[in-house]
Amino acid sequence: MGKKLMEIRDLKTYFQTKNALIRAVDGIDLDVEEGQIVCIVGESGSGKSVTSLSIMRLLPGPKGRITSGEVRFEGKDLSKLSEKEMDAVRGDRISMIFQEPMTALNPVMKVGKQIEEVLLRHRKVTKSEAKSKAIETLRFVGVPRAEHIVNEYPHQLSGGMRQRVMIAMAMVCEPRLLIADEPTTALDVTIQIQVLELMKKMRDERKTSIILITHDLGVVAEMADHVVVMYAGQVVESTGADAIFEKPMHPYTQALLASIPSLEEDKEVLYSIPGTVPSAGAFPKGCRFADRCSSAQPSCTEEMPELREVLPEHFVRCALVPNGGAA
Amino acid sequence: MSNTASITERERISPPSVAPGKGRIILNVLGGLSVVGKASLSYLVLIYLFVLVAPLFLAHSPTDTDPLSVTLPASGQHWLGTDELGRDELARIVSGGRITLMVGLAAMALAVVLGGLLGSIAGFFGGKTEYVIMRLVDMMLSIPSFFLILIEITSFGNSPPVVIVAVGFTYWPQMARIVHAEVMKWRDSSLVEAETTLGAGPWRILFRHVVPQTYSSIIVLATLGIGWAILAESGLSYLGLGIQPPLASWGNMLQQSQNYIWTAPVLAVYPGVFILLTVLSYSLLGEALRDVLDPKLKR
Repeated sequence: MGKKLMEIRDLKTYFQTKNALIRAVDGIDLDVEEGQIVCIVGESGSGKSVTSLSIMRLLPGPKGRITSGEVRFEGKDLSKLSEKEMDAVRGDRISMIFQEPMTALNPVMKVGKQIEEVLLRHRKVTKSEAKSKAIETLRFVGVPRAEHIVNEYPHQLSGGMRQRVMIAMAMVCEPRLLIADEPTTALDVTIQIQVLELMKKMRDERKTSIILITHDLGVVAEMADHVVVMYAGQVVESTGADAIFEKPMHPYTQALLASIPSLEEDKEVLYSIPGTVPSAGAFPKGCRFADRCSSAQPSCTEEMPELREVLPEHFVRCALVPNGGAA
Repeated sequence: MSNTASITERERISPPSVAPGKGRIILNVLGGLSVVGKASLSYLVLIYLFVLVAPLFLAHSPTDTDPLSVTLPASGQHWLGTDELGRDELARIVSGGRITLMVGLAAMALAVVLGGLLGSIAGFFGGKTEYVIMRLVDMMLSIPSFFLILIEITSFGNSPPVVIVAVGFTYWPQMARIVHAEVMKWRDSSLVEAETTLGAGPWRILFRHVVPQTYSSIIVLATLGIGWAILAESGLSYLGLGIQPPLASWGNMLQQSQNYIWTAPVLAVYPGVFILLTVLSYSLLGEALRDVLDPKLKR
């Protein structure tokens, strides 16, 4: 058990639209230990990205806001910080990398300048110190000829290089926590693995904790120390990486794993979970997965199951899983 | 990580290149101008140099009158002849050009700053701020600009600074509208989101990262606008409302020359031709710059 870096307790992020209250994140708990890679898995619309945006306080305008709960990070509740205090945290203590490296860089500024700027903003350093730190960081993220690359513009770089520059910007201040929202989705496979390796390197060499948001279970298997499965704005299962793949307990997790195509089995039709995620404006009363669940009982639609610790360090939100496991 | 480095080495197709510096970029843009654009630019550079440097070498003052030698034709003594008061026409063209060209530049600088500032704030922050600024812009644009200038000049006098402010003040809404639209394109971009996650405040993001994206549009619009401002100043002076004698401007030279249109028609031709060439050059240069700066508009 490492030291806890971040503790999220009962975080609720709701969006108020004209017609409905969208409960995008509905009371999640999440712990991140120092030097740990936590993967958040789930379908589109399960609230993974909104969770990360809530941590970073990047929710769009008056419509979306953190309704309750706390995000405790280094002794501070991020949800209560002022915008100015939050700016000091962003990019320094917590950074984020995105899916789209092509559009997240400033096209008319040299990449070295862009990296230096982040450093100059958060640290008292001279321009030349910032420059050498930028080059050093670019080297760390595996950019060859870093001292030349700093003088280039984003359009002169390939997609993989741009993603590396983005990562360099995110980590030049050596943040304690990196949030990566589907960082590999827009990249081709050879570069995907490089980016993942790089994140592991950050964890190993700089003890950076990482929250990795993905829907790619292959990435989860490769990276995760701890896995959090989200469904319809809630955590449905939360446990160590091995346990998720070896003995998944929540029917949703089992179904997710069953829908991975396998090389060994020769299946005619791939398994898919019937139905879709319920709309966040109109959740059913009971278990939110009940109407898609193959083992659902009538009682499942009656009452919302709690997230229970059925085995040590293994939390499941399903009424059918007995304490001690073995559904 | 050792294998990744070797792959990324191959990832780069282009040979080692050093990115161009600011000066190099400017040269690239100018080099990419069409022939017409280059010709216009050359003319403009020459005319500015001419009005700035020529006074050092001219034998005559633009204000010295000589009742004995009025409306003389061109000669070795007076290269472009003399006007109705015996003043050297060349000296008048030079000093008038100085005023006309500077008024055009200064007015446009004002419009760029004012329009750029308000337009970018409106486009970036949205909401009520945007509403107020853009409705103000709509309001300004709904008033015929020339009448607005007339009103301003008749209320505040017609010294060159007032003319500059009046002309610049008329053009800022157009600038604001373009900048507003350009900035709005970036408002929800991942660039803004990424910079926010890196701890940049909104003002910093706006002026350091978003506004520079609009420079090419601003440059084009400002270039076209200087031509317009010169024309506006000339028009005002022609009506006797702009730059007042004895100060020369191309516009008021044109006005004074009309009394002598039958006896000394060249007095109207000189300022007229210079106004025409200058405004035309600015328009053509603006178009040529747009072709270079906006890759989507490739012919």
